[in-house]
Amino acid sequence: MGHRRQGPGSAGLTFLQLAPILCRAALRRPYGLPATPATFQLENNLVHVPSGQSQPDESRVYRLCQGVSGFNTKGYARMFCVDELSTDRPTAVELLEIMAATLSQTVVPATAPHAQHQARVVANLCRVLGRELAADKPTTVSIPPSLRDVDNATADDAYGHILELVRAKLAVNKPGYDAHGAAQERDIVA
Amino acid sequence: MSRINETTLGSYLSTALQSDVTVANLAPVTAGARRINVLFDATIDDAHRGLCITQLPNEGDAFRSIPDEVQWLNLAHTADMNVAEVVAWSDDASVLGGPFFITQQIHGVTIPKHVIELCSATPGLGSKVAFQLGESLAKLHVRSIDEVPADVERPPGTAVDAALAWIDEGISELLQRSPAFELVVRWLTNNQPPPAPITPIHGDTRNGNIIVNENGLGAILDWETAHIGEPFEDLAWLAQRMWRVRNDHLEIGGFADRSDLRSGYEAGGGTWSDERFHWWKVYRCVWWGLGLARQGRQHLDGTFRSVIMAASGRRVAELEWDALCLIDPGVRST
Repeated sequence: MGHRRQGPGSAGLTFLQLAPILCRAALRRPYGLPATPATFQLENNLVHVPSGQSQPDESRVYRLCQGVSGFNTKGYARMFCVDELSTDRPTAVELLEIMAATLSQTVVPATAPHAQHQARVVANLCRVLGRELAADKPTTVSIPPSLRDVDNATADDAYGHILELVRAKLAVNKPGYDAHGAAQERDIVA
Repeated sequence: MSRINETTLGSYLSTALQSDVTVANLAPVTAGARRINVLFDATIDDAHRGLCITQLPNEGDAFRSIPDEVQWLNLAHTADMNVAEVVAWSDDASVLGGPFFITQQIHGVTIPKHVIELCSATPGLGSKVAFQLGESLAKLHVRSIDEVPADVERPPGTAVDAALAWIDEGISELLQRSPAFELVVRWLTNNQPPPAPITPIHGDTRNGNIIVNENGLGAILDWETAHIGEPFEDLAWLAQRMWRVRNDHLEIGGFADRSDLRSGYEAGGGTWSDERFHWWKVYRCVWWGLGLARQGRQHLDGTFRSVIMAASGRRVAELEWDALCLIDPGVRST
C-alpha cells in the first residue's frame, strides 16, 4: 500500500479523495522551500506525503492541475515531478531578493546621482516581482460589466469586493499601504 | 545642450541687467525630468545675491513656454504670493542652450520627507506653512482670469464639467479595466458640487513643490501646469495621501491639519467649502491614478520608455485605494 501520510489530510484515501486536501496543503507552503520529486509519490492510487514537506506551492500546483486533462492521478504526479525538476535553486523569488539587495546596497551608493533614483526603482520592482510570484492567486469575484451607471444596491455590493481586489494588488505593489483606510482618513479630517 | 557655466551666465546677466556681474558657485539641484535647476552666487555691481536658473534644455518637452511661465510667476508676485521673484529670462535657445528664467534664490528644503522632518522638529512650523499656503493660494484665486497668458485654455463649461470630461478620456485609454475608478467616477458624477467661478490656479501645489525653511513657506515652485480652473482643485491636491510620505495623520502634506490651510485661505480672502474640498480631493485621486496609468501605457507603447514610467503603472492601486476610501459608503470623510 505504501501510503504513509504524515502531513495534513488522511491516510488511506484514494488520490482523488486526497487531491483537494493536497491542494489545500499546497496553498500554505512558503515559496522557495525545498521540494523534491519524492514529495508526493503515487502508489496504487494513493499518495505519500513525507513529513515536513506537506505544503507545496499554491500557484505551481494550480498551474499543474490546470494543465492536466481530467486531473488524473498519473498526469498530476508526472507534471509535478517535471515542474520540480525544471528549475534550480535559487528560485525566482530568491534571485529577485538578492537582485534587490544588490541594487539597493551596492549599486545605488556607487551610482551617479541622476541614475540613483532609477536604480532604487529597479530594486523596488524586483521586490514587487518577488511578492507577485509568491502571492496567493486572488479569489475570483463577479463584477458587472460597468459600474458607472449601476444602482446604489449594486454599487454598494460591489464596493467590498473591489476593495479586496485593490487590497490584493497593494499586497504585491505596496505592502502595508492599506493600513490607512477610510476610517483613518475620516479621523484625521474630523 | 545646456551651456550654463560661470562665464556664459555672467556674460548674459551683465547684458540683461546692464551691470557688472560675475557668477560663482554653480550648484545643480534636484530637478524634474524636463528641467535643469542650478543655484549660483552672483555679484552684481559689488552686491552679492543668490540666484537660481531654471532651464528647459529640450523645449519640446515643456508643458508651457518660458515666457508664459514667467507671466504666471509675475502674476503670482504681483498678487503677493510666496514665490521667487523673476530677475531675468530668455526664450532664445542660443543664449545658454535652451530657454530659461532666473529667480532669486530662496533658502530651505523641498524634498517632501525633509519638509516633514523640518516641520516635525520645529513646533508650530507645519501649521504656519499650511496657513501661508492657504493664504497664498487665496491671493491667486481672487485674481481675474484675464490676467493669465492669453493662450491658456478657458474651459467651455464649469471646471467640474472639464474635470469629468478629462476623466472620461482617461478611463477610455486604460489598458485594463479599473472597477475601482468606475465606482469612484460614478460617485463623482452623482455628487457634483454646484457650479462655481473659475479662477487662475497653480495646478500642482503640494509638498514637493514648495520651499520650506525655519521661518515658514519660502516659495511655491513649478508653475508649468498653472491653468484656469476651480480653487479647490488646488487646495485638495495638497491633501492627497502621496504627499504625506507615510505621515498619514496630518492631511496637508504630512505636516499640518486641514484647519490650518482653511484658516489661511479665509485670511487671504478665499471662501471655504468642505463639500467642494472633498469632491475635488476624490477627483484628484482618480486624476492622478489615471495619470500614473497613462505613464505606464506610454512606456509600453514606446512613447516614453523608462523604468520610472513602467513603475508608475504599478502605483495605480494606491490611488484606487485612496479614492475608494474617500467614498466609503460607511465612513465617508467630508
